[in-house]
Amino acid sequence: MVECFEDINFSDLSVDDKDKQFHSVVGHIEDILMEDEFVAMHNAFMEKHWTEFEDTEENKFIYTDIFREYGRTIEKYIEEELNDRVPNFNMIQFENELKLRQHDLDGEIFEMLATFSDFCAFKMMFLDYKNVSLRMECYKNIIQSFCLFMIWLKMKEGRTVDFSLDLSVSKYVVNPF
Amino acid sequence: MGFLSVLRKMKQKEKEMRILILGLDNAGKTTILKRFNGEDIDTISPTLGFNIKTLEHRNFKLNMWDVGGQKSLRSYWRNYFECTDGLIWVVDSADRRRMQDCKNELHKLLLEERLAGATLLIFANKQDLPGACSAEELQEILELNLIKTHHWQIVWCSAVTGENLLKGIDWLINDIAVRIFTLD
Repeated sequence: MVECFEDINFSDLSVDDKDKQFHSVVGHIEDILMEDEFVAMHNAFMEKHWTEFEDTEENKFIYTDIFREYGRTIEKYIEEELNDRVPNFNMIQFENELKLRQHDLDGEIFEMLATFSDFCAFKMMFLDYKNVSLRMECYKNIIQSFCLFMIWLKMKEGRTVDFSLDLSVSKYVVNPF
Repeated sequence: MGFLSVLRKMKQKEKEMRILILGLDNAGKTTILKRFNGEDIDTISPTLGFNIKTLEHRNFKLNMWDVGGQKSLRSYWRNYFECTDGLIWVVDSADRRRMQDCKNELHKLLLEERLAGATLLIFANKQDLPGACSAEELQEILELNLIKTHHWQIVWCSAVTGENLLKGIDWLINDIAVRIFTLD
């Protein structure tokens, strides 16, 4: 009797532990995605590739290459961070845990992760980023022309130029979420 | 395949199918896709990359991928094989001169491991043109009877008039559905 009871108790505990471990990893992934380092890494990727994208219906083959690199980059980043944060973290084990919970993966975090490997969402994100980047370029040019005009105007009037009111355009950061 | 792809696959909505449309250039792949999607087909130019359409049909969500067919682009086809449930091979039935090329490319594709599980629909397109081969003729010329590795069917159609497109797609969906969704 006693042995039997202990057996059941033990297996219950082990399932519980696995569950705890799984949810702890998911919690870490959530943290990782919200941190500035991830956003910066994501932005660096966007900055590197946005000029390839064009707002046309037809897709270029290079989008597929960039899409694959995107998936690999994000996966690698998350895996490395998990290795640092979770003792004895094992990606294969985590994948298996994911598969076991196939019908139980509701919640924003899983939606977000699934979006990373959705090509259409990926293309839309790049087109949005491109629009913002082009608009920023445009503002920069307008401000630059305006400054040059002011300098010219002042020099024409024979006045010295006061640079103490120098304008600057700071780097923008787009949060992917 | 990394964990993101694993996750995406699991999160895929029920009744979702991935369909890949291939064939020689000028076969009418993009026209079929656009016609099926109810879009204007007057201003289609040769595809140099690929098109994607997601459409709902009979409660199925169809992710359709149409990749350019020019000779120089065919080496890119392989990048789109993964996870394909159905393959539509489009033939310009009036282009008798290139039937050998067409046959070779098709049979080459069928050797691809990543397409092994896919249902194959052959569209004998451009039946509205004079001198077009019939579906029966094409079956001979393309040696379709040699195909033992895939479920296949040849259906005549005209992307321009829209005739028989539904019939072909419905056969494809039914075959995939029986294979995939009844297994669950």
